[in-house]
This record gives sequence, structure tokens and C-alpha cells, in this order.
Amino acid sequence: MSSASTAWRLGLLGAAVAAVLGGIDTLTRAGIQRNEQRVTLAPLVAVTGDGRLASLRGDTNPPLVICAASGAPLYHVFQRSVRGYAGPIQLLIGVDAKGALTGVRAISHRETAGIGDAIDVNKSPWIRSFDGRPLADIALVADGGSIDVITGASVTSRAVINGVHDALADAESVPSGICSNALDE
Amino acid sequence: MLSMNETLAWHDNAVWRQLLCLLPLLVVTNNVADAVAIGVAVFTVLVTSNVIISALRGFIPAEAQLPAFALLIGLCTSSIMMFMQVYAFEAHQRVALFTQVVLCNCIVLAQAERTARQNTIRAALIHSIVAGVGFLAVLLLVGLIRKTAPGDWPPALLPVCVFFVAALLLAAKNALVQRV
Repeated sequence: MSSASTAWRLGLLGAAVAAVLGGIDTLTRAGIQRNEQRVTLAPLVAVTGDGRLASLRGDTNPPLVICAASGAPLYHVFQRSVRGYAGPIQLLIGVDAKGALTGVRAISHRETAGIGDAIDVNKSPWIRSFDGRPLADIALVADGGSIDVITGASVTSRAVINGVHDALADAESVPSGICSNALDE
Repeated sequence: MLSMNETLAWHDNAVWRQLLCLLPLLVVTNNVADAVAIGVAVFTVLVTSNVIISALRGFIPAEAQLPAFALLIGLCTSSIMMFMQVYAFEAHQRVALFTQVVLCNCIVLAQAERTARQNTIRAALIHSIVAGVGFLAVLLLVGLIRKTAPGDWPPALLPVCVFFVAALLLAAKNALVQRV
């Protein structure tokens, strides 16, 4: 086989592959975008407990003030980085318009597998025990609050609690009337 | 054909015999869902690329067969990744790093070179299914063993653990082969 023929065949093959890939890209693009949106918004839905946020448009980087279609603020969402046992823990914290905590999720961490990683909602329901709790209760039972310590991980447990307190303190000083994004009606 | 299939799935099992593809084995088998995701991705790439290569075997220039293989396997890999993002987005997020390099995965390339290049579409299809099932089975076995380790035993979660599990499986297989 001549080298010219080899080049032609490879070229043809490349063009055919590109065409097929282009077709598959067109076919899958909408579905992929839908999934990406669902995944970026899932933590916001989780910390506010409000399923309507799944169709939120626009900015999704905390700090956020998410408003109703009318413009009235519904939730503040904060992100806090706290020092855990094995490195930084990124927390996402949701607060409603009255300043009450709606939920907390650890969105990234390096805590010990099988012990401190119980802050991950996929590993343990522990972090759900913050949902809807008044500020005064957010402390370990040993410190007079009502949050159970994660066995073997008191440093991790306290780090999360400190991050939540920090965010709630910020929530009081957020100026009202500035919406990051609003729900569709 | 039977002997060829037996060879691919058991005697020349990609992981057990050829000791190939230990990377995904090391990292993704710490949970069964990820093991299934990467296993199915490799399996699908293996089968589709082998069928395509076999179908085009008269067209692929002999002097440049490696770039042609790379193009076709790349086509299969990219397509599978796009479909995974539609139908299994979360799993894709966790195993994307490994599905991206399926292209230069020795199992897939070796299979293309060894059987698809010379065989009819039907034979290539059957051979690649058999080799793929062999790979998938070992991946699942390792994933299951790590998952069922007593009480979420922490070392079982660490990647190194796979060396031990894989070595034990290999030893067991060798012992079995020698006895027979």
C-alpha cells in the first residue's frame, strides 16, 4: 500500500470519527447540561430543604441571597471553610429569612475514613441533626447543646459547630433587599 | 473458538494473567457502584471498538494501524463518556479520570491488535464480550470483597488494600490451575 493511500485512509477515518462525535455531542448536550445544573443546585436544595431551588437560575456561588419571585428574601446560603482534624472542611450553611438555620452540608473534607467522615451526609445522618435547630441548641451535648458528638471525632464535630455559629452571626448582618437570584413563579 | 474464549476469560484474564489494568482496580473498586461503572465503560468500549475495528479491517492501513486504532477507540471512549454524563452523571464524576484513559488501556489495545484486526465481526464481537466479562468479573469480585470487609474495616477503604486482595485472588487462581 502506498503511503499516499495510507494518509488518505487515515484522513478519511479521522473525518468520519469527527462527524460521528459531533452527532453524539448534539444528541447528548441537553441531557448533560440538565445533569450539571441538578448537581450544582443539589447542595442548595439540601441546605434549605426547598425543592423549588432545583430550577434556580443564575449565580450559584455563596454567599447567596435567594429571593421569592416577589423579591422578598427567602434564604441566605453561606459557605464556610473550617479547620477539621485532617484539613479544611468546606461547609454550606442555609439560613431562612428569619435568621433560623435550615440545614448544613459538608461539601468537601479530608476527615478520616470510617471516623470523621461521618460529617458527610452520604456516610452518616449526623449533619442532618442541625436542620432547623435554634442557635442556642447548636453545641455538643457535653457543652450544653443538643448535638451528639461523632464518636472518636470531637475535633471534627466542634469544627462544624463553630462554622455554623460563624455563618449564623453573619446572617444577622446581611443587608436585606439585595437578591442574588430569585425563584421563577 | 471455544478454546479462544476460554483463554480470554480465564487463562489470559486481563487482570489475573496479564496483570493489566491495575490502575482502575486500585482506585475505583472501593465501592461496588464505581466498580460497575468503570467495568461497564471498559466493557462497552472494548466490544464496540473491536466490532468497529473488525468491520473496518480491510480499510485500516497496515502501516498505520496504531493511529487508526487510537482514533476508533477514542471515538468509542468519548461517546461512552458523553452517554454516561447523561444517564449516570454522578458515577461519571467519580470515575471520569479513569474512563478518559480507557483509550490507551492495554486491555483494549491488546484486544484490538490480537483478535479484532484479523477476525470477522462475529468472532471479534464474541471474543471481546468474553474478555470484557472476564475483566468485569474480577473488578466486581475485588469491589465486593472490599465492600464486605468486616464492619467497614478502614484499611479496606484504602487503595493499597487492592494489592492484597488481587494477590490473594491471583494465588487462589494459580493454585486452582496447578491442581487441574
